[in-house]
Amino acid sequence: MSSAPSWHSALAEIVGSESVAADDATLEACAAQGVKPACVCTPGDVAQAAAAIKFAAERKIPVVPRGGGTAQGIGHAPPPEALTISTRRLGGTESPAHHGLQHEPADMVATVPAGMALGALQEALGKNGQWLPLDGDAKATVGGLIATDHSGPRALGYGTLRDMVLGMTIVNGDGVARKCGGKVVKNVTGYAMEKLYIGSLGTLGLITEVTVRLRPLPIGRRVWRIDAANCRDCVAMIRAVAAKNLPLEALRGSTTLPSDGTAAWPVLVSAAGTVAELGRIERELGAAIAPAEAKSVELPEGRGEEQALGTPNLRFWCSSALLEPVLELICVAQGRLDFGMNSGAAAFPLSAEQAAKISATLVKLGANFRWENVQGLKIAEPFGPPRPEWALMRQIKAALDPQNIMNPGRFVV
Amino acid sequence: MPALSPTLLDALRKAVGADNVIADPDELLTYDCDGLTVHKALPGAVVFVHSTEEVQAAVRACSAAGHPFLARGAGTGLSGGTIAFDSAVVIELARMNRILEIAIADRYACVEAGALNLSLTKACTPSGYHFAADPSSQGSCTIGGNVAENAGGPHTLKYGVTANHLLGLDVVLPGGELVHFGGPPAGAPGYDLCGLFAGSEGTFGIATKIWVKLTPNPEAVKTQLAVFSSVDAATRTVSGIIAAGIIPAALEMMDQPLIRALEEWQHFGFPLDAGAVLIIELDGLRDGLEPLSDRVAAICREHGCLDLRTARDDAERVNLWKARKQVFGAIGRLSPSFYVQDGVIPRSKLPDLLATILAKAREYGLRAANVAHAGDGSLHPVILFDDREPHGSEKALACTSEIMLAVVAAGGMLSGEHGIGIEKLDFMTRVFSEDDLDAMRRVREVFDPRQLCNPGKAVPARRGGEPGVQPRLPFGVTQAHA
Ligand SMILES: Cc1cc2nc3c(=O)[nH]c(=O)nc-3n(C[C@H](O)[C@H](O)[C@H](O)COP(=O)(O)OP(=O)(O)OC[C@H]3O[C@@H](n4cnc5c(N)ncnc54)[C@H](O)[C@@H]3O)c2cc1C
Ligand SMILES: Cc1cc2nc3c(=O)[nH]c(=O)nc-3n(C[C@H](O)[C@H](O)[C@H](O)COP(=O)(O)OP(=O)(O)OC[C@H]3O[C@@H](n4cnc5c(N)ncnc54)[C@H](O)[C@@H]3O)c2cc1C
Repeated sequence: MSSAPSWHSALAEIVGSESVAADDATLEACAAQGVKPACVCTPGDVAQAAAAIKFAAERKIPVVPRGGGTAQGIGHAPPPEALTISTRRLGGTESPAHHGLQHEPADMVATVPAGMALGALQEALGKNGQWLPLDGDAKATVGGLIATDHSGPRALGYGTLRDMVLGMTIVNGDGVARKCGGKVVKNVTGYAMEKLYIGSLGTLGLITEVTVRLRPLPIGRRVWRIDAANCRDCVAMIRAVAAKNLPLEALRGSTTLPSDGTAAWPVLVSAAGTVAELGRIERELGAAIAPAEAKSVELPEGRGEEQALGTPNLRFWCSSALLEPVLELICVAQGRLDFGMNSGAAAFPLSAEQAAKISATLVKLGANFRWENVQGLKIAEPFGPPRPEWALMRQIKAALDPQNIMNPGRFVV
Repeated sequence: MPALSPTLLDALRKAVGADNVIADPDELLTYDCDGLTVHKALPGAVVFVHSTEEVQAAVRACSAAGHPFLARGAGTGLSGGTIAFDSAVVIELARMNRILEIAIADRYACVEAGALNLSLTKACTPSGYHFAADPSSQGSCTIGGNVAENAGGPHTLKYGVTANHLLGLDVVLPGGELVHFGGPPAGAPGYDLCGLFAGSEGTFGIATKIWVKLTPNPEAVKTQLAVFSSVDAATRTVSGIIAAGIIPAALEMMDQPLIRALEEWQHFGFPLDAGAVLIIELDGLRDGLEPLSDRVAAICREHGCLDLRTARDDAERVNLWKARKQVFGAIGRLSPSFYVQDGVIPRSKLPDLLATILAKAREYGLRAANVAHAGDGSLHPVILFDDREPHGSEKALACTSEIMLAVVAAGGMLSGEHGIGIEKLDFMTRVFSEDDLDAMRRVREVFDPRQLCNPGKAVPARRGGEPGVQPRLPFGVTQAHA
């Protein structure tokens, strides 16, 4: 109890003492990149969340939004002495089951409280034969997924969150709850503020509710594995399959680099459709990669292709022509790689010098990249070198978070 | 705001060459409005630009003079976005129409902002790709205008609107600086300013170069015309198809007045006694099309479909789409004046809302016609009226206002395609709180602190007004005279 900040009881008075905790166990559980917050608030509704943020803004207390805590390794470390605001009671683990979820199957749209975990959401949507077409940690919250702009390997077939989010409610850094977008699938009514919040890493406000467009669950799905002997063959296979323009869900290469250099480079291809469509895709795959073979395989539930990766350290995006050079560049350490035509992620332990060299080369090649979960390496620029447009972004942050309390210092702003 | 000063006119001539500036009132008349023809204002000057540098130079000249300016693509906008109040300078991008790069391996193209929508699709047809955002105006509108309005079209049901295909932008900010937003490649660090720019109606700056995704042409396409006795049966079918988890490539509806007008205008072969028709397009792998089409046919029959005709060849398919895309051209045959409205609702509400539209028109003693990107819940009710009659346009205006309120009450939004422009500024408070709108204003002020870039559009001014921005015309009337 000794660690509670001076403003603890004042906050408890505003949002209720059951919503505020500062005991060591709670603070420890909400540590991010080794930094413990001063206090944790778990608002039960939007009004409480707004009151807490307004309170913080008045006192210039930094606020760290927290969902499932699965991605707090993205960006710089959070500031010390912060108020963590958890979405556990905004549809999350401490809410009644499916609390606040509004699924409109006939519209193929759902409005989801930000704290709801992806696993719980998919389960609820599945009861009506629909899903949000992305993979992610089942414990990741919808708010966190949007704050990190998480789109897994199935972005090839279904697009990214930017294509799925229709609207949201957010409490900005001034403590005001605002709505943006709508609940309709097409909308040009005012600025698309929701786009700004996707991938904003909690720096503009706390997302409290999100409306997303859904898809019908696939009638059938098949996953094939194509074995390639090396990086070059693997990339060539991906290109050959991509050139067929088949309606695929995902097309990913991957590898685990052992220390002796004898890696396998399997390509995984996932498609959804009817038996006839899947049969046709299988034939086309065979033709594209002959004499190699595409073997039908089972994938474990959940994250699918990216599952094996564990916690990634580096994500990159590049033109397809650069895929091979980029892969070769980052294959410097023992570790795992997962990639598609224009992007990839790597999980490997590496030294600060190796990371610096990789960053410098990626910049030279014109690739975009982001380091994550690399606290030990003290990477000064996890998002790459500053860009001119970041000045505008800083001003946008100042406009929506005038006291600069929302995740200050964590992002490029 | 004073008229254009001679100093600014000189500066503009210096910026882009005297041949590329018009300031003669007679010549300016062509630019006094866009597709929303009822509101007119004469620009102070029109400047034709040929390069990003010229855009920068023109913007810098305006900015130095503290004079308002705006971008204009093809001027097909339907919410008054290009209307040049206060003698604003119109920066015309139509001559920046080159397709700069088609990168098939990475499935994107880079174009100048004035490139025509259809010209991009034509340019990549030989490679088997197209640009998926296909507004009905695609033969004449620019990709810059599509980005600014986040334009949609029939095939956005399956493939998404302009924003879903936008990868990157070069933008000349209202102060004249050039910035790049987004990619390619994807994954640019920071906020998605590219996504934010889409639909900002020209108020954040002028896009000069645009990177968009290319979409592979489907292997097989099946286009059908489903005939129904009533609008109600047709819209219930639409809701039934969506509820069954089927996402057609396109799902469009037209009702009887429009079918008749189209038939009288050019003989397309629509049944004159139909209450409504749906154009249903399915696409994908050849192997999947027949079973899908059987499911759709069953849903149509369940809802009393009178006839389901399949386009037998490309010519028949093109003919169907030609009819759909030219429907506004035919409306003039129905009525001396008409008003095209734009709204979007949750798609399960279609049957109720269309019934409401027809009832509202009856209440006012007016006729209504409906064309809709029905699968998206994206509506274009058309109110037919005679502005030569006493109170003709007032009645139409009042009727469409009530329709907008019904759209809002159904959980819909004010515009699915045409934007707010000046047309619907007054309605914004019906769907957004002052706080919501204030966040938009603050963001706008980041891009354009002096409110020089297309002021008075898209987002209503703060209560009590803003310096330099006059309260604008109320909800207006789109008229077209036969
Ligand atoms: C095995 C694995 C693979 C992964 N693969 C990918 C991948 O391919 N691509 C990818 O992008 N990510 C990937 N991730 C990260 C993934 O994005 C996260 O699981 C998820 O996005 C974060 O959700 P969370 O609820 O755990 O958020 P947290 O970890 O709690 O928070 C993440 C960030 O978002 C902010 N935040 C959280 N909730 C809110 C809110 N309601 N409002 C505003 N800000 C908020 C936080 O302040 C923090 O900055 C992967 C993670 C794992 C474990
Ligand atoms: C017959 C007809 C059918 C239509 N059908 C559809 C349809 O199916 N779907 C649909 O969505 N719309 C439709 N429209 C509306 C219109 O065609 C679209 O809004 C189109 O995107 C406008 O493009 P434009 O080049 O004509 O833009 P303009 O009308 O010239 O400009 C529109 C707005 O965009 C801004 N702008 C233009 N270029 C730029 C730029 N480079 N940078 C920044 N701002 C810019 C302007 O300032 C203005 O605010 C239709 C219009 C007509 C007349």
